[in-house]
This record gives sequence, structure tokens and C-alpha cells, in this order.
Amino acid sequence: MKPDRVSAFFWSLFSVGAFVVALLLPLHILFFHFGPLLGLTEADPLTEGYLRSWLSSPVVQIYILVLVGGALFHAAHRLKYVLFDLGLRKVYKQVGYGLYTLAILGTLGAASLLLPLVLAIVQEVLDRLPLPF
Amino acid sequence: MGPETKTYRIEPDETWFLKNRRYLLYMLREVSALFVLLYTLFFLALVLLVVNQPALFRQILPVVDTLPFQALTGVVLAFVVLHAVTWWFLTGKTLRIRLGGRVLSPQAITALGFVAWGVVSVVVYVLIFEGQIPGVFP
Repeated sequence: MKPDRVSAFFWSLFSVGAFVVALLLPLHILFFHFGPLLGLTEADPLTEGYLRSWLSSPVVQIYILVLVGGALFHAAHRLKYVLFDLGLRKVYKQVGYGLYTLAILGTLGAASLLLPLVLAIVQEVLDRLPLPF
Repeated sequence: MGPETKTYRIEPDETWFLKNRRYLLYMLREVSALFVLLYTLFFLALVLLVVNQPALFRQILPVVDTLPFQALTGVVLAFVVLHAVTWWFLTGKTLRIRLGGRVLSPQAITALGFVAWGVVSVVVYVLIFEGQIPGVFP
């Protein structure tokens, strides 16, 4: 019997995502949405100026990629099996494919924030290479 | 003719999780994934809009400040906290960690998870309110 590597891959993403969600998401929501309300900070992160400045930091862009990718793949896999548990055994696989597609698209969307940084690094590397043209 | 074969059949019952408090907690934890999915998509939309479509972002932002939306965010927070707490208790039972020739007990692994959560909370706080981690990332 051949090992099912595809299922193992998605279970691995689920586990990594579960750690990301457990470690980061409660804190992220607490600080981001309730920080000013609880007196944790004077600055309100939910303003255009704050967000634009915040998102210009590469470490924030990496943080968002990890948060979004981990959370989406974790939720997609878990929701697929919630449908199974609720008796929707004829559709859970098809809905699962839709959820994984959403997770891939969302992760690519989060990765797009890093595009300027990646392009700058590529440009820097190309500038240092002794290319003949 | 031999005796009639009796086959065990699983009767479909979509409300099985309502019959026991432990099953209900299990299902609530599983359903937390729906809130994780919805919140993550919302947050991603917010950051992509502020970068790419600031005019649309300005139209959406007042909704985020309303009381019903904040209440909804509170519900999402409750579900993700449920996920986090149950996950740290679960890791004690599923992870096997060796340290100095000894296997850590489930309670020790769960405690380590909560300690890690506390340390990460400082990092996330600095990251959200400073946008950087001093000494690590500029």
C-alpha cells in the first residue's frame, strides 16, 4: 500500500497552522482591535495612516504572510472535517478543494505585500553580479 | 438456510455533539475554524485595500468602528482563545519531547506552550505597535 503523501502534506499544514493560530491570532485580535480600548496603547492601528506606515516594514509583511497562510490552511483543513462530522459526507471533499483554493489564493495575496522587498533584493543581487551586459 | 446476518449500520445523526458536554466542546473548538477563516479573510482584505484601493478602504473603515462589528470581533476572539487553550492542552497529549534524556510529561509540555504564548505576546505587542522588533529586525 502506497503512503498517502498528499493527505500527510495537508495534515502537516493543518498542524503548523494550528500552532500559528494558537500563538498569534488571539494576541493579534486583542492588540489590533481592543488595544486602544483596553488602554494598552494610545495609537489606533485601525487607521489608514497607521496601517500604511505599519505595512511598509518588511518584518510586518513576513508576519502577515505567516499569520494569513497558517490560519487559512489550518481553517480549510479543519472545516473540511467539520462537514464530515456534521454528516455532509457527499460534499465535504469538494468543499475542501474550494477551501484549499481559497487558502492558496489568500496566501498569495499576503505574499504580494512582500513583492517590493523581493524585487529590491533581486535588483540588489543583480547589481552586484559581474554580468557582461 | 443459515441464520440471518445482522450487519451493524451507523445511523446518520447530525446532532450527536449535542448529547454530551465534551462532544459539544469538541464541536465548538472545530467550529472556531470558521471564525478563523472569516477573520483572516477580513484582515487580509483590509491590508490589501489600504495598499491598493485606499478610497474603498476609507469607505469600509467606519463599519469596523461600529459597536456591532466590535461585538462580532469579540465573538471571534472568544473562539480563537478557545482554540488556543484547547490546543495547548492537546499538545501535551500528542507531542513527545525529549530533554536531557528524559521524556517531558504532558503537563510540562502544556505548561511550555503557555510560557511560549506569554513570550510571543510581548513580540506581537512590539510588532503591532512598533512595526519592528528592536535588535532583531530593523
